[in-house]
Amino acid sequence: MKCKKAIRLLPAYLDAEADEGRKSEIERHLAGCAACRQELESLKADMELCALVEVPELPPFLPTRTMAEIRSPERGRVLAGILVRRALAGAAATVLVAAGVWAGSLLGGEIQGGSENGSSWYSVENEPSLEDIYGLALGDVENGEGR
Amino acid sequence: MRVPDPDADLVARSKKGDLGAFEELVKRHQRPLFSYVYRMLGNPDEAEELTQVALVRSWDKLKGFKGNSKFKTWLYRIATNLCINKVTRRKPTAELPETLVGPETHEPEAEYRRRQREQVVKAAIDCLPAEQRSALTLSVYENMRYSEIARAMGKSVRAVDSLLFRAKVNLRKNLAAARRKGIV
Repeated sequence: MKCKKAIRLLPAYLDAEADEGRKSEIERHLAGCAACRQELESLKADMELCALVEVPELPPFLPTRTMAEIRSPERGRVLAGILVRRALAGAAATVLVAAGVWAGSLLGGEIQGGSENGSSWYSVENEPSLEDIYGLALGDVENGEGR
Repeated sequence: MRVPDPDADLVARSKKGDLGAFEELVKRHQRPLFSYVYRMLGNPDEAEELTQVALVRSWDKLKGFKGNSKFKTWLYRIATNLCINKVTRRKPTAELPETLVGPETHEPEAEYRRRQREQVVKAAIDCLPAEQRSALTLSVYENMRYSEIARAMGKSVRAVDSLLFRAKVNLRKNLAAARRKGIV
């Protein structure tokens, strides 16, 4: 095994993810290669450094707020409302497209293109994403309205 | 392939609508999940919000969970997707360690140096691309096997191996300046 290959395999070796065959190969290489032994030590040192990084305390009300969010009837209503609006928007878009095609065929294809900027007057993309909805719901809880 | 899951009973009860059982799952996983999300986002407020979103989403999607992985792995998959979306959408704010300046402080020298080292290492990890950071965090801090990381990230084991190799190479590069200055 050459050093380049050994170095590529060292992280998995260190993580005990190398299979037995690979492991023996790497160990044979390490026994005769001071540079790769040094590389292994550096890798271990880097991973030990990672342990220095601490994480702040768990926010005390996280579970309470999470469960309040799940139990909140408001969240279900908001979600249902959004889904209904999305369905209606989809249906409206279909009707508009059909009407446009019909009108276009009546005018003999003289009108080409849509609005000036090429965008629709209404877009489902303007609807808030589920993250936005969750974000709003979180805001409600923070304001004490979702409790 | 189904794997033995210590959460199986609570998951089964939760699927039937038992909120008490789900609350138990929340209590069991919130701490490590929050740590993971914090390490991905680097900001405690964002981490709290996204941890909550991940937990609520897991409740919403629980009926679709078939038990092909542990509940914990599935939960981390949800959180990983949310974190990577968030990280890739925002502008990079992390600074490489060489540009960091230690705060003025009167704390003892040893404590100051420990904090400085922590700050440098955190910045070096924060500068990694999102997927590399995710793989590294799940491996180093969550002690996940490569196969579990693969499920949590929706990748192959080979891809995880590659991500971790690149993460470790980049981490070394990111720490190089601090190492030259004797900070780490």
